[in-house]
Amino acid sequence: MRQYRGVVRLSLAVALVAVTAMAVQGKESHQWTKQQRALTQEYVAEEMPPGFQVVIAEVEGPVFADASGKTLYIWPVTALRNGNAGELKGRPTCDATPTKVTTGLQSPYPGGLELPEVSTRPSCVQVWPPVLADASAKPVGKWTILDGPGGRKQWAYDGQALYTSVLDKKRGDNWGQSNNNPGGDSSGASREPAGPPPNIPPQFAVKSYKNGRLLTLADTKSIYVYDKDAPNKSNCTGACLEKFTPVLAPENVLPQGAWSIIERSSGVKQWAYRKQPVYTYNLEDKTPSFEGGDEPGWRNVFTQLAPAFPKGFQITDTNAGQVLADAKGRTIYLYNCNDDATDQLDCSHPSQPQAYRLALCGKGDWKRCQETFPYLLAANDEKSESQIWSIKYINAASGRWVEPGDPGALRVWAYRDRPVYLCGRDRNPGDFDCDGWGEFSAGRNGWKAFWIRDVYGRNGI
Amino acid sequence: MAKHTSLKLSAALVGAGLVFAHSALADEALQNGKIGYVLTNKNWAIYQTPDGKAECPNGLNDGPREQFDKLYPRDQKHNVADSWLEREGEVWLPDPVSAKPGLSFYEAQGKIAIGLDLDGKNKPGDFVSPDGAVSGIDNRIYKVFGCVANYRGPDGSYRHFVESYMQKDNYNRLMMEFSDVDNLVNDPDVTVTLYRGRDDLLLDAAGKFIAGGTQRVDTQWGREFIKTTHGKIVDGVLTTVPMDITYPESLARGAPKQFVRDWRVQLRVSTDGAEGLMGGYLDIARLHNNLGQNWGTHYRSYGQESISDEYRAMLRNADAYPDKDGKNAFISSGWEIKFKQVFIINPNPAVAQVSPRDDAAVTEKARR
Repeated sequence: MRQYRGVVRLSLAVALVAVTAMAVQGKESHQWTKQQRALTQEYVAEEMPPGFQVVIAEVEGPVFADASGKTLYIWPVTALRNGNAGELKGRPTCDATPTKVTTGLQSPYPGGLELPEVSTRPSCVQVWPPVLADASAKPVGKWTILDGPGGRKQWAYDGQALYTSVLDKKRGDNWGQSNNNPGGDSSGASREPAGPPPNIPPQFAVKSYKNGRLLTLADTKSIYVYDKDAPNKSNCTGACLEKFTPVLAPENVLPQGAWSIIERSSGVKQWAYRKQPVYTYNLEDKTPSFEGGDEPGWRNVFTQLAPAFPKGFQITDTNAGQVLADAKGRTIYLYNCNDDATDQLDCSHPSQPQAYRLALCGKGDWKRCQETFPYLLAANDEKSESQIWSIKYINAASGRWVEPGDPGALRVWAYRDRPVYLCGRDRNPGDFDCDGWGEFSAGRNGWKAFWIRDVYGRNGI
Repeated sequence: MAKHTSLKLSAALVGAGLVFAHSALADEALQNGKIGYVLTNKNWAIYQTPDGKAECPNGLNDGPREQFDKLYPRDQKHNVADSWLEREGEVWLPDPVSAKPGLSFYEAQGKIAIGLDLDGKNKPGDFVSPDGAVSGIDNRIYKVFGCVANYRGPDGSYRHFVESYMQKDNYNRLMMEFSDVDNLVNDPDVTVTLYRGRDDLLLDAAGKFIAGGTQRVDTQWGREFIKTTHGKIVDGVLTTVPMDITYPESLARGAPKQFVRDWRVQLRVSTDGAEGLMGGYLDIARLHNNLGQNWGTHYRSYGQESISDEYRAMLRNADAYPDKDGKNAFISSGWEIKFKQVFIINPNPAVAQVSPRDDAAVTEKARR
């Protein structure tokens, strides 16, 4: 909540009461119960080859994993400014030859520039080990076997070659790259976790957000439920329908999984999810959005909620929506980085080249970086209660993860195994002056605020 | 012939109907002493001669691509850290005084500029209006942007996109509401309140902005943009009393805001819209940050815009509000702006009457 000063008039006080009420209303994600947070996204259980499994990741939901629990990733083709990068279906290209120079796929800088730390730069397969198929492996359903570079036999799902990430260490890690990356043609061609389809009727879709996996219509309108409805019974009638529209079910459809069908009136059927009738919001402007959740008694629907944010963290109102902030109300930032090589390697992790980050926050000077984008320090009594959030030790001079006893080690908060940052320019709760600091509005190399609700952008993706 | 007469009569009737409808709209636009406007176009006020030689005798400035090629010739080998990242570091953390050897930046020349007299003084460095009628114009940002292709009409990249992004991005939906209006031609005192709107702009079938749309006030996220001043209308021209404001500023990306001291407008107003000039002193640090947040180097390359050079030029031309070290931290600025009439719907007038972040100016001052 913002700190207001100079309250001298009764009218202002009255207004502030109204403002406070609105702001609190938006903080839905702190009101979920433990039971609600424990629910996970149902998925379609497809036939899989032996040795593979589905793991429920905290934010990504159900993902494919190998026998050891390591998340499987795909690298779909992405159109960049000066051409495409990624892999076509059936055509794995990630190989063992380290890339030395840039491609020039991202303007305005030309290709042919030597990449940072080139002498030790890993190859694509060193960062993204292919999921190999042994000689006895047989295709099953959507799982096929492709011929990859170097004569390797590689598993694919739905035609897309599968990889693991060297950054993932244990079951449920998906630190390689995320479905929640900035995305778009302004960032790199990133990898994403592969997973089974969600168990939802064809009218619906699921989109990954920082606060969970949001249920939408296939046309991206958000889905809402109403607190005044009873299990499998809608109480939204009359004036209620001026703002919300029931999502009707086709006449001949059958219930599936958590989805049931209720009859609103004779011959008019409505979908219900987890026994709650579902609706869309008539005044929704950009889709999907969280706007309908501002109406009293209404809330968005998540097939799976993200873990609760660390204790003391708060959701803060800004002039463009809501961001995650630390206990002092300071906006938290995430660093994004993707290089311009043919293999499009990530550069946002402490184990990866730091030249990109250091150039933008300090022109190469790590001390200056601690003024412009200091790490968010973790107090000694703070601890993480989830997998996606962690507390680690970092050496600010090198930017690398270190052991607790390392000289100069800072105890910092991390999200997806990457440190999170504050902005040296922010002064007040709700400031987000460093959002978009970097290349291509920080989609490729730079910092974005930890958006929970980005009303004027893409709602936190 | 009879058919043609009939057609003419029909056309006349339709025309009369349109006139009536327009007149009715005009009456409706000003209701209970209130009329609303929504911003549809905003450009830096750039004075241009036909061939540009008077104000830019050295031609237009180099942009990121041209500068990169000068510093790092393509027939030589370079690495990312020393070339690409050196350039990007300079974008965000520019040297306040010197550019790299071999690069140059040309400020706009001459005594003529478009803009407003912000301080009521005619002092060295001030400009004269193109028609010579107004002297003492404060628009030093013109010296910075005047020879940057991005901002020059008619086909500067920024100018090309500005209306498109006005439509696409409602973050910067700036609105003005006049209240206590007795007469839209002459009125000695009207109240002018700024809001951010939430809705799309109204377009005709050809994609042009038209009057008569509706906009909801953003009382949920846009409270800090709500600010009230007064003004007077003389012969159809509104002039407002200066005040400090923050306003939402964005193009395609990001959600930055500008902080303007002594902000005011001078607009020819009608029931269809308002058009004229906006002026004030811009916070240079914030402006520099916003330029980078709005458009990445890729986009600025099309407009041959180097913001690190612009930042240095802003500091050289800063003319107001010194920081704690005594150096001017603000620069006089002018914009050409257009509004269309709109019906403003305020869902929560109690919030709109005050600005909880009225202390924005105090906050900004505290930074310095």
